[in-house]
Amino acid sequence: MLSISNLHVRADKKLILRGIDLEVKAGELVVLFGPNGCGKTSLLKTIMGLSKYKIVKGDIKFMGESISNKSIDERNKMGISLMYQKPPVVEGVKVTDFLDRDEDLEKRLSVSKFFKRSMNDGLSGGETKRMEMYQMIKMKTKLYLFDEPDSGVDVENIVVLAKEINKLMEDKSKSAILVTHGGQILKYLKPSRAVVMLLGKIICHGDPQRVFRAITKVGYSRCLGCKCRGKCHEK
Amino acid sequence: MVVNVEENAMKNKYSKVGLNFENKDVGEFLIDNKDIRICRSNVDGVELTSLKDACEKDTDVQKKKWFLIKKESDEITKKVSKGFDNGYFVRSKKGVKIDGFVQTCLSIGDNGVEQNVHNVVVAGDFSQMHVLTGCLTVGKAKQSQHNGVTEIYVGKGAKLTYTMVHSWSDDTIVRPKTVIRVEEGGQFISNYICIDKVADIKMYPECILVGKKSYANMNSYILARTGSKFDIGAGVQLKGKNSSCLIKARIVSMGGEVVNRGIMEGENGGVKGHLECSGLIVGKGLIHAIPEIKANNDNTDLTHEASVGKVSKDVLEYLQSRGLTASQAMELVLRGFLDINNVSVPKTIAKRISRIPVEKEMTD
Repeated sequence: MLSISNLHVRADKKLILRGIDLEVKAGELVVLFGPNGCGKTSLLKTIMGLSKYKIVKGDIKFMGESISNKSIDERNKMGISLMYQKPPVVEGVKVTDFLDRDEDLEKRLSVSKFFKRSMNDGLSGGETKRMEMYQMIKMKTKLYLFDEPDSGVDVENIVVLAKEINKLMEDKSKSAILVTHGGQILKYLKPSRAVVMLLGKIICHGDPQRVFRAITKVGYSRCLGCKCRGKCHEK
Repeated sequence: MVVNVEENAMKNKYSKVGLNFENKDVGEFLIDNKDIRICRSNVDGVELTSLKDACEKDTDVQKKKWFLIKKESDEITKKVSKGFDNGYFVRSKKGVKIDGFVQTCLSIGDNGVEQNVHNVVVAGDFSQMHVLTGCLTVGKAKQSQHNGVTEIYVGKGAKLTYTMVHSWSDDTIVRPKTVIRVEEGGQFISNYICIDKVADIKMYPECILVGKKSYANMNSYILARTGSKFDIGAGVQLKGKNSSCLIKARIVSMGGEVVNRGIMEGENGGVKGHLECSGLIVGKGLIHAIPEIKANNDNTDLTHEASVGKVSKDVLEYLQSRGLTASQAMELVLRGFLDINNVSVPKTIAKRISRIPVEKEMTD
């Protein structure tokens, strides 16, 4: 579904992605680990096409077609949706200005009361993520990009969000990349595999739970110079 | 003189300023060039006549004409005084509370017309009324000038909402002059909306809050296109004890020039006021915000804030990530910024504001 090859990306005159290779197949939920500033969010935003992120080398293919020169809305119409970590407040604009209401989904996410507000105005961390999830579900999406759905969110909200992600992933024609920093949401998900990013590169991959346990134990510093390609996490 | 015309021919002609003479509302008044075409009140408790007729019949109206605004104030008042065509007189009776709009229309349909109108509005004590005034050029009328004087009296405990929508041709000179007097506990809410191109508008309504606990809320929603010049704003004199006001301007410049003035003068104890001007420049344009505060009492609370900037790229791209094109995202952001949702306006106006056309280069 998604094929990224030798992707080099510049943002604010700085090279932030330095040769990313990543394949995501239909039905896969890929978890992206990495320390602060390693480029996880930048990778998701580059896939979505945000203008700050300029591809200087390499390519992104979605459903066999290069999307590197496509606009954000074109990518969305092709089936890519990004769940923002910190979405901006859009004054005077409501979600209903471009998406229909869905009573059942509103109930599941407890978001009915937020529809009269400007988008993201005065919402707590959990409320923001639930409204983002509402939009992700309502859009016709093939590839979901979840940017830290568990950051700044309490356990109850994490469970609600994870439940929805699991539901989405029941459809094996869909895929997702999920960035998590703290890993709390992993307890409630069944990701296919994990990849580890460091200094703008993917340096390791493996079983998500094992990789997470290893990182928690020894940190990311050990990954530097490690040539195991995921095998050390098997021990 | 009231001239009878086929009202069906007017269907939709005035909808761009939110007026609809097809369905009878609280009352309708239409002056075309210099002649009154429609003048009627459809409900008890609201008088609607021409100002000339009202002055002939009622000495109180005579006293109110040229009371708040002096004939010799400036060139415009002198012109209106000497070349007075006519105008409307609206009065809600004491205690009458009415839903719906008193629709008044000041229209120019011919080339080179200089229209001089004078209006008087009276909201009787404890009454409630909404006057919707649409001012426009129709057809291909060119090189015209609209000079208007409006004196508004808001009685004790009364609430008057006064919404003015302008849609002029791109070479019309527009000079309205308005003064409002609000008595004890009275409320005056004004909304000024102009989203069409105009040559030059100078407009600066002044509200005098004479009564204690009187209140004014004056809002302006402006879209200034290339070639348009606006010198607009509002002033409030807070003379009554514990009187308060909110002056708000939302301005989008798409190449037009806007000077937005606002002044609050606190002249009694316990007065409160806030003045807010927010501007967005899309592509090129000019917005000059001039907020002023004056107080002569230590028990006043007057504040102001002003900001001018561009549409946030993050916001536009966020909406694009929801599938909206760049133009659609810009349209939505501008509509949201103009924040007309909370204003009671006819659907035709709300719909027009929801579809502000954005040229492609403005989103690049």
